Amino acid sequence: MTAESMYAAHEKIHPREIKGRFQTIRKATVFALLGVFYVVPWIRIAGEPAVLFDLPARQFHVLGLTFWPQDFFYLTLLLVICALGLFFVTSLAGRVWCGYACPQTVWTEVFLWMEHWTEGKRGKRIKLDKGPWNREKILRKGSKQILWISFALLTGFTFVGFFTPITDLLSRAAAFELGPWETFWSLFYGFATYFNAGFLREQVCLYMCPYARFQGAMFDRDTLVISYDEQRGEPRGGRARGVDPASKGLGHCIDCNLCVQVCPTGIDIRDGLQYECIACGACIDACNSVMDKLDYPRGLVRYTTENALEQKPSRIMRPRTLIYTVLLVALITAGATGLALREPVRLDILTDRNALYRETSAGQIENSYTFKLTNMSNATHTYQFDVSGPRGITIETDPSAVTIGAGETLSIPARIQLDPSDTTGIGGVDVTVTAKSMRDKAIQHSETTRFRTPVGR
Amino acid sequence: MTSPSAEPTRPNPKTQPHPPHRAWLIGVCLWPAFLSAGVATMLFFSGIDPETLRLQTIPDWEISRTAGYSIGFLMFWAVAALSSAVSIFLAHPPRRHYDR
Repeated sequence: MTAESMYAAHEKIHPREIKGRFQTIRKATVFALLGVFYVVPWIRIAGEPAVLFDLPARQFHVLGLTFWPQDFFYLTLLLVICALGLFFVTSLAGRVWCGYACPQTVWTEVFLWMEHWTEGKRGKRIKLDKGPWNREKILRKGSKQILWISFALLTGFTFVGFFTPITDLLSRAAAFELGPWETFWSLFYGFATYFNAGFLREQVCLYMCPYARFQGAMFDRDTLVISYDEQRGEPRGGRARGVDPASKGLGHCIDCNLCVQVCPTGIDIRDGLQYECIACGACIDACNSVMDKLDYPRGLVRYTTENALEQKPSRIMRPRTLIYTVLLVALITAGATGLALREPVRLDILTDRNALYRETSAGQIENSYTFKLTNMSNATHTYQFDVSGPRGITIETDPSAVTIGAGETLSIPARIQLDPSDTTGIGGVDVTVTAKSMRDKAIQHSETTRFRTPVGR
Repeated sequence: MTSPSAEPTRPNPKTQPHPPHRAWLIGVCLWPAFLSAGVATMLFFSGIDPETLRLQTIPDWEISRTAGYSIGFLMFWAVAALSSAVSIFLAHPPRRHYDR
């Protein structure tokens, strides 16, 4: 394929390690977020997993709340809120999501740490990569692979632990009794982690991430971005320590290239804002460490806004951020209200298809139904049924009070009876059936169904 | 493209934002398909229980819900990847225009 010759082979980026304020924040968020990921499946509340997406039972358990397929609306709402939240944060603070919270960068960071532990610092890694496959290279690369693969397997296992109770999963994994699909998804997720965080790294951001491509649309002149202060830095150039740059006609940038070496996506921030920049702040820390050594003020590379760089005032509140705020508040309120008002019991009424109605020995008109009652709460409840409609209507269920465990559905045969003198004679009448919990009067649900009567009586 | 005598040039990756490398093409095919399959699986199975589907189509095939979801996801992925692959194929201009 001729086009292939056009392509410059990808060169592995070896970011230099750097210490500083933003790298400390980054490390803290990596620990916090991955901590949440690896620990949450193990947390149990009152003997039940705190978070369990129980797909086989078609129930999601989240911190004591149980969600059913009927609650799909809340998942959609949550996704919309997350997307809007991302837009909001982007318009305010740029790509903080990319730098600090995105699973891709977070896991890549951990894989880089492991590379650093086993293969050494940047210079050593580059040398090792170029060097021959000797004993040291095999040992170092081998131990890196062992670390990477173990960590990836743990990640895949934890991922499946969100869908199957993880203690149960562990005991079965230890006995090599995992189901085929559990094995498949563990390995799949583990492999994806290994490949994305170990090999693809910044290429995921550059070539695969849709957000990286469209985030620019949410930027304006008041968005916080990482920027090189060209006015202060240029003209750049080397100088001896203690020399006044102004006397040599130089700016504050000593052209040490440290900001390029620490960049995980391999760009030069001095070229201006680029879509490759994931806003991790490594270049800020690198530059500040150099400025400190030279006794220059910090912030030659810093978080700032385009307006601030041009000495214009920056505004936080602007139409864009206001609209996002209003939408976010509205959606979160709507979601929370919906959740609070959610009825923890659901009643479905199936009418008997065999007979429209029948006459009892006492001369009453009777319709038969099957009630499907689902207890969507987290406790066992006993329910009774009431019916309202024409005067004199009565309901009988078998048994009269049903006890249903948390998250279970029961079919209950039911009969509704009405004296023929009360029927209106047009073939049927709407009746409302209410299921009520005997323990908690607030838990009830009503459903309307058709009561069929003989025509023309 | 270039004659053999021409000096091999290493293009600047910044001026070549879409290197049509084979691995890259595979990524472009599989990755959006993966995302679409994820969305499709969520939408489809939130409305339809794989157990009901199984009972109404092939009741003799006894598989778990997990297997149902997984097979559903992989099928969505395969179909979306096929669509991606055809898109990539068609997006390439016919060869004779540049491969003289």
